[in-house]
Amino acid sequence: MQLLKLIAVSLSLGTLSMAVAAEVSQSDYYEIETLPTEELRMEVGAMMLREDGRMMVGTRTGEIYLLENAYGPPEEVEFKLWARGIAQPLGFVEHGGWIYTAQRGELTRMKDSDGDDVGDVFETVSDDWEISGNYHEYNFGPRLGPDGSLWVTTNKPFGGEPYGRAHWRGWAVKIDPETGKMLPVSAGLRSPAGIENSPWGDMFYTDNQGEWCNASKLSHLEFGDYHGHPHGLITKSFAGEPFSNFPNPVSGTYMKDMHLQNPHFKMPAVWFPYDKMGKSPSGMKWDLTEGRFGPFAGQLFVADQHHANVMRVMLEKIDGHWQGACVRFRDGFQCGIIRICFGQDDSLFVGQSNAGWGGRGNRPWGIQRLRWNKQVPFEIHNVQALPKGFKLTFTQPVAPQAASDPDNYSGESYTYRLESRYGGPESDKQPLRVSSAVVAADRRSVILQVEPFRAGYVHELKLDGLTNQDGVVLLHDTFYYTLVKIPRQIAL
Amino acid sequence: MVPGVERLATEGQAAPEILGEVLIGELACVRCHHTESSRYRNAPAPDLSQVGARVSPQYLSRYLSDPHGVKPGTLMPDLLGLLPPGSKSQAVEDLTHFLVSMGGPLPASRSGGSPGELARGKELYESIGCVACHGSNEEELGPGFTPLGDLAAKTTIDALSQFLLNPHDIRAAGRMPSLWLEPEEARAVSVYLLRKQLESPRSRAAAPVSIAGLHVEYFEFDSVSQLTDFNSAEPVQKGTADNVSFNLPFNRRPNQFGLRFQGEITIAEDGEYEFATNSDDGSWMYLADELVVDNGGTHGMRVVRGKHALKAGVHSFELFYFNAGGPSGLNIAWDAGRGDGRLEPIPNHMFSRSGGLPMFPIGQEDFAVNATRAAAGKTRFRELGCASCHQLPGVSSARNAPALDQLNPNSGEGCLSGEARPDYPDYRLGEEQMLWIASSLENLTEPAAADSVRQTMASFNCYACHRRENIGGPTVDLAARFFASHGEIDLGEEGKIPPALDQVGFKLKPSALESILATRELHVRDYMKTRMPQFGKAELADFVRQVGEADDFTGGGDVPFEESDVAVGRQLVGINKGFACITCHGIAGQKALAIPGIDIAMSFDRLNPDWFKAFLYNPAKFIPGTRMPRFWASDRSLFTDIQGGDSHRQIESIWTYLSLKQSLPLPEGIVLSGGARMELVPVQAPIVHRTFMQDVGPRAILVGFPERLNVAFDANVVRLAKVWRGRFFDHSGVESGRTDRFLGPLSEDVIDLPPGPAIAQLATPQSTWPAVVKISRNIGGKFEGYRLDRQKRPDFRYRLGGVRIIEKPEPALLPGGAVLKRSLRLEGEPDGNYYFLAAQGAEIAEHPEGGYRVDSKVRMTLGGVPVPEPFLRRSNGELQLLVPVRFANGTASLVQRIEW
Repeated sequence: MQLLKLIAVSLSLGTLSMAVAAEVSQSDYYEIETLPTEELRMEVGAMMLREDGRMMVGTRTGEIYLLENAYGPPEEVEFKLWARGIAQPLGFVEHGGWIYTAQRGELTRMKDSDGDDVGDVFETVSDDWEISGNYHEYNFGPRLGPDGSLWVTTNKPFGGEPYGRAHWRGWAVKIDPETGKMLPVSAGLRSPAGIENSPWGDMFYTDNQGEWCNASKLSHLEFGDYHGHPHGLITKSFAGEPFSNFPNPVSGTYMKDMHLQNPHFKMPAVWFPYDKMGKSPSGMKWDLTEGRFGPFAGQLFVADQHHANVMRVMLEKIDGHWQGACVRFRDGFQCGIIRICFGQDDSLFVGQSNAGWGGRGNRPWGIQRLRWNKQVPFEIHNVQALPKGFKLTFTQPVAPQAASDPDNYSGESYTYRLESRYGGPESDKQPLRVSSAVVAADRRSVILQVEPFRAGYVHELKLDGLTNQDGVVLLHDTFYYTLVKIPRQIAL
Repeated sequence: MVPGVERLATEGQAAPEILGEVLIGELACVRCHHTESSRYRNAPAPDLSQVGARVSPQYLSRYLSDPHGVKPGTLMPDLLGLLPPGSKSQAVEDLTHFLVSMGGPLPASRSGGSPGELARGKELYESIGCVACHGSNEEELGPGFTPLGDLAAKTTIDALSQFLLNPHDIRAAGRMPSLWLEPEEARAVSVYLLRKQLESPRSRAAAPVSIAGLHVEYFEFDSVSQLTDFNSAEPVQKGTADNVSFNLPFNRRPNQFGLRFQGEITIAEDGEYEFATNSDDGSWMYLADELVVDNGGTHGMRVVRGKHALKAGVHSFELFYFNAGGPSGLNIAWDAGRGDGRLEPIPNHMFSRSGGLPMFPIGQEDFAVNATRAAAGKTRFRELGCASCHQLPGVSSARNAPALDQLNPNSGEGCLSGEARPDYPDYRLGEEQMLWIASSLENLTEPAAADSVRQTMASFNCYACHRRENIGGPTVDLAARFFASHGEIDLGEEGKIPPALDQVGFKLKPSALESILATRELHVRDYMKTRMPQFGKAELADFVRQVGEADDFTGGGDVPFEESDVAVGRQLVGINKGFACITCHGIAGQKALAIPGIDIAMSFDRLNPDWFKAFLYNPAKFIPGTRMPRFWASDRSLFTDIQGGDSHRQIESIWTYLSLKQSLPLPEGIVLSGGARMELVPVQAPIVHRTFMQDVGPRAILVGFPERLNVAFDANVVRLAKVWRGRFFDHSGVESGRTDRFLGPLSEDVIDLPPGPAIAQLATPQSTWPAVVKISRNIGGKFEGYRLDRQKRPDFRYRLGGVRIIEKPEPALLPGGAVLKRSLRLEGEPDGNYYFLAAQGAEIAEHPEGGYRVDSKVRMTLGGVPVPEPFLRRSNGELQLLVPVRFANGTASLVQRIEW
């Protein structure tokens, strides 16, 4: 029932009003189509739209497929085996006639040299990172950075390390595609299952909650940063400045205060509160369809491997720091999601594998397509921080009466510690009070004053009873804004 | 008596002297009646050196008093008939004390039986072949069976199962064969055979004892994450299990459940043992009340080890396990005390639990050995002549008997004089049997090979299961009641009754016959419940020679090996333009499409190619009523466009294909079954697969060729590490769920290449070869990747100094399977002295057919441009064959063949 929402249609009859309810759901706007993959063990780990318009899919068991007829009826999709035996590819980039992928042990580039649609050249670009032989030592990416280098995030091991402790685990690194030279970008990553370059060139990654990561997060990758997990610090002496002096973190410190221990500590852009949003964020994609996938052009979609859902993220840069809000977008996929990727037809391909982790859904793997049916849902379109609150914009004009009533807004704020334990609670909670709600003249936005308004805290706000002018309530009424910086000037 | 002789006599036309000769052998006459001739069998009697440890004193006493009364049909003579009644009982008592002193008295059984073992034991006894010789154990035995005697009075479960596991330890004559029982099976059969003991007053009065298996309890939790969660939980289900696994007697839910296994573990020797659990989520193992393995917490499949010193004996065992959510799994293992860190499963038979039904030999009472009487018994054992047959160190027989060729069977004296003369050993021979023996003694001619075969089959009672020359085979009654296939399969009688042995000496290679009789190799009828037993090595070589001679074994006119015939044979065996042999025959471990017939990849090792050809032309001539169709009429084949329709060539091609044995390329149409969870099976093209591999490392690149040759390259050290034939690899170790098990090849036919890299730069020809430790990287160079050729075969490229090395492993076909052809091409600007390590081992010698023999297993040959000039050197106690690499115009090439 959580997918369902009520449309309350108000009929004014003098002072008497009466509500008539009708049900709408996410599927009224975004439809899920399922590709037939039962026979193929389609445990998707990598997905890419090739320059020739075909989707390329890599699986955890090492196969790489080209999809033919991928945009028509699902039963007509053909999977052509392009390569096999690749060690757990978790990302593709097409660049200079090569396809790059990060295998467990190396960054590899691959090519079909004779044009038979089967890869036949497999070259090692760099094997400077190490693996100890632990299942958790996945590598994610690469992604092509604005400097022309290939960015990879490396998972730290979890459990035994049969070949001893390996270096460069839990790092973001970048590799020159020609020389293979590897340079460190950031330390302190835990399980960085998603890495993505933004349309403006900044690189972001998602990290999974666990030890030294109380809540899953989206973070901006910049050179010299430290993201909190100490595992990879054994490599710091090879990494040069500023990494060589990073201290081990003291467990229990509020993340917002971590800069006192290590000035290079990086606060996340977005925290994904545990269970409310997801449990294991994975792949992500910016919406570059310019509206052909709905009203969220330029925004970020982030998938979750546990909740089998896709979330939506709105980012803004305040005082040099990228931060923003997340909201639910589409739930109900058949299996935990590893990768998402827009197809040539502007539908969102959703690649799935439960990969041994329990999650929602009833399938072990698969590919689904999410297609916008051209109906605009009534949604919070954007959230921007102001010096004393937020500016919310909507996909449709709001009915002003409910939107301007401060009592219709409720919520709380909380923050997280950096702790050695596996995941942690929302800490230092306080209820939020909205002291004023002002609807703009075009009824497309509302300005809220929020108290208290605390830097370093997630602000969770629920919008009760807001409707558009047809009386349709919000499809998703709650947002989670990670307020790291408070803007000093209003930029309306 | 000797059932095989009776069948030979009644169903065949064997001459009396032939029959008599078998009896002389089975009764071991020549143990007393000395002869220079070696033609008589001389079956050793049971080894009594530990008889007191396995036979109840009270049974021994009864049996010695009246062997033929207590065990009708026994081959042991009654030697006490000549003694006056008073001194006879004295003699029995003396002998009993002596025999009990040999390792006795029989310990009271520590363990007991369970109803499950009783049922399993009956099922085994009645299905695996026991009934063929011993008859049903549920009814009065008719003639023609070997009686078991009063086992319930004689021995214990422990002693009997020990005997059933290794019967030749005690009965070296091999007449009682091994049925290849697992320890649990031997126990179950023992419980069944001794089931009367359950009813004995002593058993009923005794407290419950230990029995095989563990108690297991199943819990369900609202939320479980630690050991203390079990403290307040009540089990939802209880039962028993053979071992720690998910093989449970009840259903379990996927999440929020726990298991507790509890019982005892029996350790054979004092020592330090390493134990481990591998579980998702947590598990804890307690031994002797100590927490030895703490694998607690919520996690994926994870191995945690723990060491503990344990004395030989029985220790408490307890294991807790839970799964909170997601996937689940539980395995345990130990190092068997080797201390080398290698783990293996803990055998079921080491586990036991309380609650068994005690089983004591009926009539067993406490017994104390009187040393004086035992000494007197020893004297009697010598004097009566027991020691003639039952040889014991330091006890020689004092009984004198005339030499064999001086015997006069018609004298009215001696063993053949029957009951009239109680002063001779009493064998309870019948009139006819005495006639046969007499006839044999009078007619000392050498039997023909065919007669020798009949005699051996009678002695060992092969006739109980196998028919030959219309003699033998299970009786109609036994066949109908006790001979069956596994499951419902449409193989008719061929699937149930062991094969007739007519012409077996022509059909099977002598080496195959030897394997089948003495080992578990080449037992191909997996579909049959009856097992081919093992008769030990006694008289084996003679029989193999005789049956070959009797059946005109041709010596196996071998088919010349033409590599191009392999593809033809593969096509003919497959379903696409072939005879679809794989419909009914498994092949190289892959199941048949319809009926589980014999795996034809075993043919080369088993069959004489002359028989193979003759059989394919007319199967029914060899096996009347066989399901095997006739595909080739005279000389024209159904497939006229293959080899010109020449039947002979087609059959030869199939033989050539099958000569690759387990590593033959699989035919088209096979539905891959495999045994492993995620088995990779190359059929059309090579499979290149990068994964974690045991002994190779986390950056292994495996190549499986359809020719069923497989190699593993280590991209961390940068070296070709392993080559193996047969099945390729199961990649579930890494690619199923959250696991990182390093699995090895799916085959035991593995060659490890010399340690270290193939090519190295050495300062001098005597410099040490680069060493590899576990975490070494880039020892062989810097790995650069691989390319696939048109056949999708990869080469491996790496750079060492100024030189790029391209190493290409490929299969080459030979009878016996594919071998490795390895080409190395070096190009670039050499910046040092490069060497190739061609071989390393304890022994490297020239091979008579060219090349080198390495450690007696491998033949290695070298070629290349310029022609390699290897030299041998000794390094760290081993020999190394090194080739200095000489470059011409910046390139050098080496070709190596490794055959084994």
